Amino acid sequence: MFSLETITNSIQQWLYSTFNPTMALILECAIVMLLVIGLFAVLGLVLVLMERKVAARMQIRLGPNRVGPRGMLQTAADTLKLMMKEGLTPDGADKFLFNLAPFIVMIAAMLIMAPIAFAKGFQIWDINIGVLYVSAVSSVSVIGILMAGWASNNKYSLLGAMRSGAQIVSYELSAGLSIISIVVLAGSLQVSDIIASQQTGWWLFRGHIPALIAFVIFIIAVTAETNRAPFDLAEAESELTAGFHTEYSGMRFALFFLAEYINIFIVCAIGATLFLGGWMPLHIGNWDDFNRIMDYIPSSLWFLGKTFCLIFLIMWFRWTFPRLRVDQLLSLEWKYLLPISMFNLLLITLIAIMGWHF
Amino acid sequence: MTNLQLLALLPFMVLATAAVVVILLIAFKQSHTVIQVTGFFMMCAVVLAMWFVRDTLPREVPPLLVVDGLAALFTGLIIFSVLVVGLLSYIYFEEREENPKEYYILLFLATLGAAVLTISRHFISFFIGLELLSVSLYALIAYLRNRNNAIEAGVKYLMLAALTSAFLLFGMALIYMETGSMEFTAIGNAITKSGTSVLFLMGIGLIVVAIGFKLALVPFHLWAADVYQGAPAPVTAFIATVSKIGVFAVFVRFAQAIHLHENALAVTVLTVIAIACMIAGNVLALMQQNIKRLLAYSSIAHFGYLLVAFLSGDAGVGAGVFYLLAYSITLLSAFGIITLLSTRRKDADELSGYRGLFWRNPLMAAIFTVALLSLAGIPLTAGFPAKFFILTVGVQQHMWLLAVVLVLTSVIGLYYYLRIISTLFASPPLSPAKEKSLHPLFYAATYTSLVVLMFLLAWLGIFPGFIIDNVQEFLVIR
Amino acid sequence: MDISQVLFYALSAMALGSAIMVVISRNPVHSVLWLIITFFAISGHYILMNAQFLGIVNLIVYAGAIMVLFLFVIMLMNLNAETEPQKNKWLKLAGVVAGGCLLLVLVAALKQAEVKGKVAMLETGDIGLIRNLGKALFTDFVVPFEISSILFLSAMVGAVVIGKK
Repeated sequence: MFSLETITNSIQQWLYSTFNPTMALILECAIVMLLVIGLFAVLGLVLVLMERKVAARMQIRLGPNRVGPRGMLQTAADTLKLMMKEGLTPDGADKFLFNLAPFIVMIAAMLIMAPIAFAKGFQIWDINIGVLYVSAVSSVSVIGILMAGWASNNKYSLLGAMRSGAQIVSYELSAGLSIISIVVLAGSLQVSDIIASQQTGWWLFRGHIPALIAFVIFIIAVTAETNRAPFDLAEAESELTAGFHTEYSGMRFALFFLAEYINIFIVCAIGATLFLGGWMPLHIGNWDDFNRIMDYIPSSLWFLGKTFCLIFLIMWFRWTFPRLRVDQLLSLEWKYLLPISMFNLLLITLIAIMGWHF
Repeated sequence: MTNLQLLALLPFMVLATAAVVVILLIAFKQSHTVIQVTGFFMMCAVVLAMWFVRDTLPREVPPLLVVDGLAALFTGLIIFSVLVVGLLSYIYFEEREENPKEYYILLFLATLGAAVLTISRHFISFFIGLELLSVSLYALIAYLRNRNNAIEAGVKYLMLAALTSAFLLFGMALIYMETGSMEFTAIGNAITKSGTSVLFLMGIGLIVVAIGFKLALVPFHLWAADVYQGAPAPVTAFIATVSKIGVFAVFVRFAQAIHLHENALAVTVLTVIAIACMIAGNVLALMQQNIKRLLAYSSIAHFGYLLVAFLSGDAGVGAGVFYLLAYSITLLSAFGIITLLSTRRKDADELSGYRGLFWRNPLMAAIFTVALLSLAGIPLTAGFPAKFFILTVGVQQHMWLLAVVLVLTSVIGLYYYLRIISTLFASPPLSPAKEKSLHPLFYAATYTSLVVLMFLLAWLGIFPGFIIDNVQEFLVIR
Repeated sequence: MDISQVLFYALSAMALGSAIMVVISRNPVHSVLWLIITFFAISGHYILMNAQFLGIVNLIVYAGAIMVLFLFVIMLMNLNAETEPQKNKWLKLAGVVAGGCLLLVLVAALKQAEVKGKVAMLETGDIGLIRNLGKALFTDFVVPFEISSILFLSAMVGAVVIGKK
């Protein structure tokens, strides 16, 4: 059966048999880095196209359809255009921070990739506190956003950055709490353990209604954390031009843009890992034949399928809900989501202790 | 953790519950009066709990806490002071437009911090207790934030307390590096085995900086006057009594465990600090026209006296506890008077406001006079035997220099206390009578408690033997 | 010199260097950003000592939350060189003298100290792992753990009291 695990194992064996261990480690790092950068490029192209196509579909129009077959090469052409453009640095900006900010956001996005399991045995770094690592590194990207907003020396940028920061810091709480509720059920922070614990069924189904609530809260929170509509106050066009990246152009703008879409992919991947079993195929109790058929589908396809379903869900939100006001946004988090998720965490702990889950 | 250990911690749990109960009462929109009365009964419950667990002492709760006689004494002192401070707070805050309710949460939490200090025998509980105390105090000091002084005082206290916490942590880290332990007795054992090293002394020095800040000892006293002046009067009383008692308790326990009195350098440094406290406190108070600032300087001097007892080693602990008891009762009655005289707009801290108090309100003047005489250490008030015991212990330990300075500075101190007393009896200025809008019950309660405090002062001054015997009895429990 | 030693020295240099930059940089926003780098270096030290959980929590709490709030406040206050209060020259001098004395004493004490026999546990200690940490917190250290939660309660009440309206 086709599996990525065999490929990675054979590459590793070949590396260690040909080079000394240090050299092999360095080469492995280089390969991983290349793969991540390649993945970023591909994801950026695919996700932007997907966003535009989904948007067009929702609004009953065609969307990009000129460049390439059915407009497939539209984003590639856009990227080319952005690369050719001149990168402006506004007068009075803090030059160093202004140039550094997009890279910090990008690097934070790259670092989060480390513990994500893309397929069975296909994971960069199975750190023993995997999901905590994810929330730690994702909180770093706020610093990059604040830096960008402040260094631009522009009131719209600063306001956008402030909104974005406030939003991310507050919604991180309920996202973290819903992540922890799965950690409680799985009994481990390690990503591979969490996936392995869903061998017999996904936590979304096994954890009864509390797990469902945690999932819903998680989706809402990550939508806000990635600054997506209906929580896109940070870059509300009608109020703030484009928020913290108003002053950015050319390749630096492209980095922000890319990081935004990468972040969507990452949070959806985390959601798929925690609630939908990651690369684990759908198994139903004692239906052995059904389970065997499901096993034939490669694990990488399972993972990508689940992730893209979630991404589609988040894109769907954008064209469904109107944008919230800032006070509504904050009171939603602090007065509703946070208390609910705390209570929910208690319920889930009770379920985990009593062993009531399936 | 066994049941007996949990039982020994019962008073502290009741104290923590008191804060939660107040939060719930606020959530259910109860009035200030209800909260005040409930708080009073919760404090009574703490006292009952202490009475209930007295037979199970001493009880260790390893690795951090120990509830023994020393802890019981100091916790008792703290709870007693908080009872009085809580009573005073009602009249003070009811007159003000700010919402007074959250005040009680912070008050009880700060008390819990001080109480944790008295039972801690490990750096971790020491630090957490100290932080709990200081963090609550930041907000308490700045509670009436519409007054300029309050915010200034709060920020001053915040900055300096945070800085000294850093000193404290660094000192702890150095000691941990030297001895490999954070428990007081283990540190003491390691030190007796290997002798003191430079790093260890350094760590002690840094810890003394932090403790000196909290006790307002002399080189670290600069905050005291401003914070005393800016904080609301009941909070000032709290800082002067509860917070200092807690820190002093942990300092005593720490010093006993690591045998600080046998270390010549530490003794020298503390002697210098004590002398500086006594001199600076009394001299700075001489020309002071603001009562709250004056009490700040006077409390600096009083902690100088207390250090004499501290430096006498184990023999001085009994005298120190008695001194703290007398000092707390005295200060609480003095601050009670300040609280009663304070108006909606400002605290009664100008000396001129006390002119002719005797002719306007003889009872208040009498209480204030007794309190001031006790602060000065006049016979027949509690201050006299307290100072006398300290002097005796100091002379027994042959600390002549300290004893001489103590006597001399007490004489200086007499001057400014008598100056206030003479103001009380001067002819009164024409002033409009203060209208009283509150329920008379609370005035009656406050006056009663102040009168009780006054009689306690006299009783302690005339028959100190009963208390000192009880203190010694408690100190044996360890 | 093995890899963990190299990392230790690199992280220490990073922590010290950026801590110095926190103090000497003129722009407060830059100070905060240097402080963030210091926290990263300290987290690196935790991870070197096999305390991954502490390292990551240090990142979440300090770099991710507290420093972001610092940045918020400082960026919105718009501090410039012109708004900086001019301090008394003598006060500055006194500060330098006092700080210098403290530094002198510390350095002298550290020179005297014996640190040869004291070795930090690298990659061997396991108390920093989350399972052991949780066990320690909920058995031996349960009382201080609860007290520290009360500490947060008091900080929260205090902040609400001072900050409301």
